Amino acid sequence: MARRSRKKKRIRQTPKQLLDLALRRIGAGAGKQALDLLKRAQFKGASPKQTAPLWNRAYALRAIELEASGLDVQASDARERAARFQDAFDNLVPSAGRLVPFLQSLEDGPCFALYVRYLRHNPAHREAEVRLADRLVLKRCWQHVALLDEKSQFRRDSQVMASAMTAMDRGDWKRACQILQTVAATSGFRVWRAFCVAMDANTLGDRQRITRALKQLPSSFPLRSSVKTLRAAARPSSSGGSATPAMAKLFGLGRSAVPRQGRALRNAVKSKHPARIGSAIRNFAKTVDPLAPAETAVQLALALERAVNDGDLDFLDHWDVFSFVGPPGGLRLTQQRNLVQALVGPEPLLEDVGEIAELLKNIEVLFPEPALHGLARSRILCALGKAVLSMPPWEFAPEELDDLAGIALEGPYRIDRPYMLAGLSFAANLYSLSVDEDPANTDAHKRLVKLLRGTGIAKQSELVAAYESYAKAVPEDPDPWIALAELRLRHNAYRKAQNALKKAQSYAGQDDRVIDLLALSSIVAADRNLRNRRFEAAERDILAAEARVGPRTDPLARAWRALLDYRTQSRLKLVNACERAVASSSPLVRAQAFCLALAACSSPTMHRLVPKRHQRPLKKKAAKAIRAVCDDCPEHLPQLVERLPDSFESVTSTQAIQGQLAGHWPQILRAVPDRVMFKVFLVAVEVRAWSHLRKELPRRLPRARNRAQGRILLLYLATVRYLLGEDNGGARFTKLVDSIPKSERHPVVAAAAPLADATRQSFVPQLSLALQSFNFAILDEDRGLF
Amino acid sequence: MISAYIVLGLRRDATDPQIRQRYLELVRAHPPSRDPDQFRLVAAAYEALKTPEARVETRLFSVENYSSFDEVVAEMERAAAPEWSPPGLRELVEVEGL
Repeated sequence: MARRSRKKKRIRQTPKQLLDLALRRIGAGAGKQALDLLKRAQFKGASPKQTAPLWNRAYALRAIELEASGLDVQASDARERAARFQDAFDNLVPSAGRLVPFLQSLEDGPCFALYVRYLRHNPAHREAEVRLADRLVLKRCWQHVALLDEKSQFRRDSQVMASAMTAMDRGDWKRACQILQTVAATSGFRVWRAFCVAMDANTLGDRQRITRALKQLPSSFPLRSSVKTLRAAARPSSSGGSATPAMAKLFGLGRSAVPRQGRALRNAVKSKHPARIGSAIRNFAKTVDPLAPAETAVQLALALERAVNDGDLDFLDHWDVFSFVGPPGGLRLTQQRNLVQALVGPEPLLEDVGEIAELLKNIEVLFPEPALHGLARSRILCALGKAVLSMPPWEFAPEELDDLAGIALEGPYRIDRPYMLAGLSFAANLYSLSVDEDPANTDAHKRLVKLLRGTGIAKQSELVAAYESYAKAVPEDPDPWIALAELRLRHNAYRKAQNALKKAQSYAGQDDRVIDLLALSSIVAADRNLRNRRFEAAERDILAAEARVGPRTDPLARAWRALLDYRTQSRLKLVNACERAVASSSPLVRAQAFCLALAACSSPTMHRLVPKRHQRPLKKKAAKAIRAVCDDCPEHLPQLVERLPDSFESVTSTQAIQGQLAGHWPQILRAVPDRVMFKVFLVAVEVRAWSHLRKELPRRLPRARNRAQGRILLLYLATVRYLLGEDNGGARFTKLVDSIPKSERHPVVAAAAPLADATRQSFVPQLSLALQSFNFAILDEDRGLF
Repeated sequence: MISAYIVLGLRRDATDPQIRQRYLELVRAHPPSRDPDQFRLVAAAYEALKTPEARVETRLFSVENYSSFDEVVAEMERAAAPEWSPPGLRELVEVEGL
């Protein structure tokens, strides 16, 4: 038997055939194949005039292919070669048979330009218009239609089509059909009208209409899967008249299967069969969330595990639920998320340092969007900071701190604070890192400044820097600007304070705090100028303060007006200047202004400006003014006391004034609002109004707003009882401390510090020491008499 | 919210414009006047995913307080099975990968 030759007979192709093939490859976007065919055609003698436009398109397509492969140098070379034949293509008017492949190989703009060139010499091309219509509908490049003649049918139909797009996007196919009714039967858009009819018929379950409409669609119609789904639904053998389930499947939603899979999952749980449950969870997750089934499966597994742990489901005691639901890579993510939840939960779980490290390392896996990595890291660090703070310092071992620092701060951490403050300092570091990662993380900013301000662990410059960074990151928030202004004012940096207040004013112009602080900054400026004997400048500042004065700053403005008038008007005595400044004001403002003027005079610089002989009458006047408040409006006494603490020492050192207040402590303590209660109570402890406080505290206790406030009141009561000699040891304090869970002691510890300062002059130094260290065993130590 | 991505039918790496576009589509499909429950669900899901910050917070810290496993399954069923409405052109084009 003769061996059959396997060699295929090579078909001889003419140059024209090769050029046709090349054009077809160009239409299909295959640049490399088109180039091969063109080379063969050229070899066989195809004329350069015929091949030149094809070379242009073939090289242009090849450049796109090379660029997609990352071969940029070769791509630019191909583009240069295409440019050599550009003139030939620009002058080309293709024949009707060659138009469509050329159009397909072009971008939107040149494509329409070529068709316009074609129309100058030829009538409308039906197939080309169908392709152009597809391009317009899919790419929505309606601006190119303007190249066509205004009277052309295609242009008129394109306007109708554009108006139907909204309804089509909405899925309102009925409305789209109505709009497209006016489209001509020969138009390129007739195909899209037919598709809208098919979709509308599908919604109504009309099989025959679907079939009729689908017959009008050409094989080149771009929405192939949708047409296939509709065609399947229109077959007589299909179960229902509508393609809804098939459509849903096409979308990967599978929503019709949701109740079925839900039932299957519930039955699997009832069956208590682990493998069946695992399979049901996987299927259910795939149905409800086809885009991320692994994560949803893990969520379900976690919910099941929680139900078992909580005793809602009394089986599967030792069942590893995760072994049934999917690959471990997908599982870690939700486990880590739960870990973060545990970090911020009521019981922080900081012991598993390795888990936290893994969480921080896997941010990229947890969040596929790169833009979210920094945000997520910032929030995790903030959560870690919160968790560290919620742990009592005595439960926080230094080695744990080292481990956490190694992970979160990515390096060794030097504990440069006393042991009890190490956690606070570390938390501040975490918050700082958090705001570095995401400067717009308002929560981290707030927590950082609150921590730095409330605990005093930071230097003033650090606190200012933290507020500045907060204000810079969230400029529309007036709070950091206001706080910054307060800080600046505290250091008499009134110009910087005013700059900050201008910012605050631009975002919260009507905020009382801003207006108050603006007035206050002017008063501080006036004070500075007064002390430096720049009286004209001080006058300007006082006028500015008086223009903005509010209830809080009124007495201040009056006091400094009096001081300025006293200095600038040679024959005016200080007491008279004060009298003039407070004329026609309320007794409370009078008393406050007198006290403030008196306190200002006692400062060293002002002392030189105001001789002592002029201060004495002022003291008498101040005492008289306070007496007037006591007599006429005792309900305002708390306000008077509230304003006094800053200069209280200087005022209460005056026997006369202290004597006046002494008779009114019960009223003051009774009337003081909860907001400033502890501020006034501290003053009462300091001036030894202990017996009055002893009566007031039990009255306040039942009205405590929260548990923390109640505990602080109990601490005050224990302190006062000790000061009055009712208690001799620290038993009452110890009992109180023991009754507070360790994680909730922080507010009480914070309240003990100022109380320690207030009791320092009370001849019981051990109490002050015990409050300062929060160690009440000191009170039980036998100290002897000396 | 356990099912924000399920409600909106989005991938976990969906971007801001994609989320907004999907939200608007669903709001058009389930307007509050006609379908208040579904609208509420969609609006809550959108709130949970609206900004990058919200997405991070949702994925990291969304606390799931469900009394039972059945409740979790029911929540997911509700999220995934709104009344079927015919897909719009954009959805079809997206599915076809054009």
